[in-house]
Amino acid sequence: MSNIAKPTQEGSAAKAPAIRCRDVGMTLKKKSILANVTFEVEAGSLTGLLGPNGAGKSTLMRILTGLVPPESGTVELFGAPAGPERLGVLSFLPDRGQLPPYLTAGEWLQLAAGLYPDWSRAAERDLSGKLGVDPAQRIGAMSRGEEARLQLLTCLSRQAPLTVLDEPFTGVDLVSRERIASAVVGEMADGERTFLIATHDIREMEQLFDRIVLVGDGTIRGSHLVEDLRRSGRSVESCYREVFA
Amino acid sequence: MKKQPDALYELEWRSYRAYLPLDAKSGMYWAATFLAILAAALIFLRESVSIESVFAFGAILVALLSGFTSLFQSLAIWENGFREWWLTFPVPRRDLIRAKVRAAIRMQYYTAGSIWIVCCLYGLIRAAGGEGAEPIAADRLLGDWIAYGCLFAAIVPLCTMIGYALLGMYYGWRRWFLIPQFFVSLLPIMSFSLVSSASEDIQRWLRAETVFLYAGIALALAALLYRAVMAFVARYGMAELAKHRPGGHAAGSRGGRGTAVRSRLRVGHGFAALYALERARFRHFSSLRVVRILYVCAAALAGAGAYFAVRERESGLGMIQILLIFLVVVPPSILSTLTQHDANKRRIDWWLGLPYSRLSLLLARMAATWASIVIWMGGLVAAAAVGAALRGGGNFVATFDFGRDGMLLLYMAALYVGLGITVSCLLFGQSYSFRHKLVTWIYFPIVTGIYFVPMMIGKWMLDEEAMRSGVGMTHWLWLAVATAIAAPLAAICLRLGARWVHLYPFNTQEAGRRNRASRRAA
Amino acid sequence: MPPIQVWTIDDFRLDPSRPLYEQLVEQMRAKIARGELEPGARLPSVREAAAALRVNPTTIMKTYQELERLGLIVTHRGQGTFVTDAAAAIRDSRRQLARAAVAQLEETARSIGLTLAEIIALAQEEE
Repeated sequence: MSNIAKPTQEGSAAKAPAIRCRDVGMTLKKKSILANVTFEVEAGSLTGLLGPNGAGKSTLMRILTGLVPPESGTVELFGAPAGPERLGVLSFLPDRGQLPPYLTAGEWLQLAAGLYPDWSRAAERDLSGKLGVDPAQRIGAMSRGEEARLQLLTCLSRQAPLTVLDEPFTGVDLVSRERIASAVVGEMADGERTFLIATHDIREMEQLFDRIVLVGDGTIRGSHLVEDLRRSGRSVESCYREVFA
Repeated sequence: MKKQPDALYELEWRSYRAYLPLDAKSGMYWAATFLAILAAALIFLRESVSIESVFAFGAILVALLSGFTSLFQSLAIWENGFREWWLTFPVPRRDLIRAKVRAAIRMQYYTAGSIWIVCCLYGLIRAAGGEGAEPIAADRLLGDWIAYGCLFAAIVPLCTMIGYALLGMYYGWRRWFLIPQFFVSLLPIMSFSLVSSASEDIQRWLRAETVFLYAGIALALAALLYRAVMAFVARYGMAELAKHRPGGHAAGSRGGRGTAVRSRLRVGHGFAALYALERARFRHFSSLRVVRILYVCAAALAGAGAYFAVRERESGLGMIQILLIFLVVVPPSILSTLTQHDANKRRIDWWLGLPYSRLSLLLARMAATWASIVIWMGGLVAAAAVGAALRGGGNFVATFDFGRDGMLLLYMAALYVGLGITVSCLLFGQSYSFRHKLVTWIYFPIVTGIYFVPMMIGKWMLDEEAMRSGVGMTHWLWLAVATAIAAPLAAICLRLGARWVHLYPFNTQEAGRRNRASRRAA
Repeated sequence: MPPIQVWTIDDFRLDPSRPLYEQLVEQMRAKIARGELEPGARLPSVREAAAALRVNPTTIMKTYQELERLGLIVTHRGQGTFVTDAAAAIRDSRRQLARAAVAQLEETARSIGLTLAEIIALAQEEE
């Protein structure tokens, strides 16, 4: 319990990338899920991890967050190896993950404030309003959009320097999507936080990304600065089509 | 339109087909289980038990399998992702449920048939062996085969219908039916000791002639229930299934809006918060009305049991022993299913993502489970104590020797709680089997063996002699030796569990299905 | 102090295949030129603007830097960012925009063999 790295220590690790992923490989039940995955996410940036279904994005996310050790290769967060003991520096929203359905939103947030050492009550209050979360509602009775907003609220109310969101928009209605996107932007504006977001909703998100990393069939199919793409007359969407269509 | 019910039936049957010994691998599983049961019966059920008793055990097993499988099936439907597709098939809802029930009955006939063959082989081997006091006549054996065959055949639809009746008991006043259903479902378990008795009076009721009669009655009841349950479920259950929101059973019954931030939720920081999170699950569970009704029934049962059974010291201690046995069986069973359930429900990533060591996660889960079970058991013990006090309380106290029996109680508590904790830790190590297939072969017997552990304890560490005249130095010595072996083992398994718990998300039902499908395609 | 301008995503039209800050600079210059953003009006903070338009905050920062370089907006430490009060700067900007538009029209005229005056006369001729 005591082995939680303080986020403040990470800030001082000068200029190390938020995520450095080298030659990561993973095999499950004799099937190769990821091979030779190498990329970096600059601190303070908002990076999109894009790729079709089954490309290995969720497995990659679990490895980056240190939930699962890779079979080969290394992952570093702010210059130190990832792993369960580094969960304090990152805030992770799992793909289609569910919170305990028997709690109300308020009960969950109360528990979360105790569970996460970097919880900010002020951020929670501020974002509860922006995201429209009703504390009296039971999680099991929420719509997908409502639960997605609560999950994002949980992620953003923490002060961890790295936020990793795996498909935050799956099954989420338009208005919720917009609220979530606005909240993400609002939180990263101070430049202290780094975001890595895996999503299918390219149109909703492409204006937000600094960089995109394309993943297909378990390998990196490209990594681009979005501004460079635009200067050459391409959009994120057209780049995605070129690679995967 | 005529064809649709058949297609429906085919659809339902497909969900069971995978369990049949249709390929070499599952054939091996079936054969292994089959031989294991036969061998166990031949080893453990010797002359002291009559052939009819063994057939009756078979009947009980058939009743338990059909009854509990259908109970679990009707529990699972509510959370099944296919539920809404199923409900919107353009056929009468009665046909939907009929197809489901028929497929279930067909599957149970396969298992009942296998159990029947085991019983027959057992009888044959014993008759051929010729050992024992009385030779077994051929006509008696033949009569048993046929009579119990009929009984098995009648029990399957009867118990399946009782199980599926649960579909109509989820909401409203019909929840009160849960009480009789609870007791009826327990009947087979309670009749175990009855049919194993060698007394002449009991054995007379197990002979082929009378069993034919039971089979007839059971069949008539089954036919009656088949119609009644079908109508009942079509009338109430199906409409409620359509209204039900998955994942929020309680949410539905309370209109989805819980009391705003409940003040009784005490939250600390760090490990205390982790513990509070785990406890919230059990608190919610025990706040469900259905669970409350069943708990009151169980308490009444414990009270009534104590009222009738507890006369003096020995029966009182026996009662306490039974309650203690729950501590060995229940918490490990819950713990071993909880994490898997979370993974299946996609709740595990959030849990694993909490900024705590994996060991803390497991320990908090274990502590909360044990605390909840101890609290629940405390209620049952209190009910039993009240029951006992109402009748033989004075007698019990009079025959209770505080020095000797107090020591015995202490020993029993240490033994069972220690064992329960050890088994809980052992089961955490199960996640290691996701890494190494071979480990599965170690864990399979442990998981199924939990239920036999209390029996073994009775033989080795708490024999009748000890129950009669108290425990001595040797008992404590053995307990110390057992602890010296168990404690490091438990610690190792706990470490293993913490090391590999992250593999759960890759071993969900969904992942399993995907793997099987891709294997079949390959 | 004039009220803060609260933008919505509909106030700007962004093409995802061109650099976003360039488009924002163009469109804000036009807003200032036609007076929709009045002299002295307070602009939303980078954080507010990014959240409202759902673009990366860096994009807004670059936009503001460019507009500041053009002298169209000024930042007062601790108070925020404002549209300039200097009428000359706004006039300069309008002139530049007008010149660019005329240059473009001249280009079109030349491509169909006309002068600037001829193309206007031709367009206004009655049928």
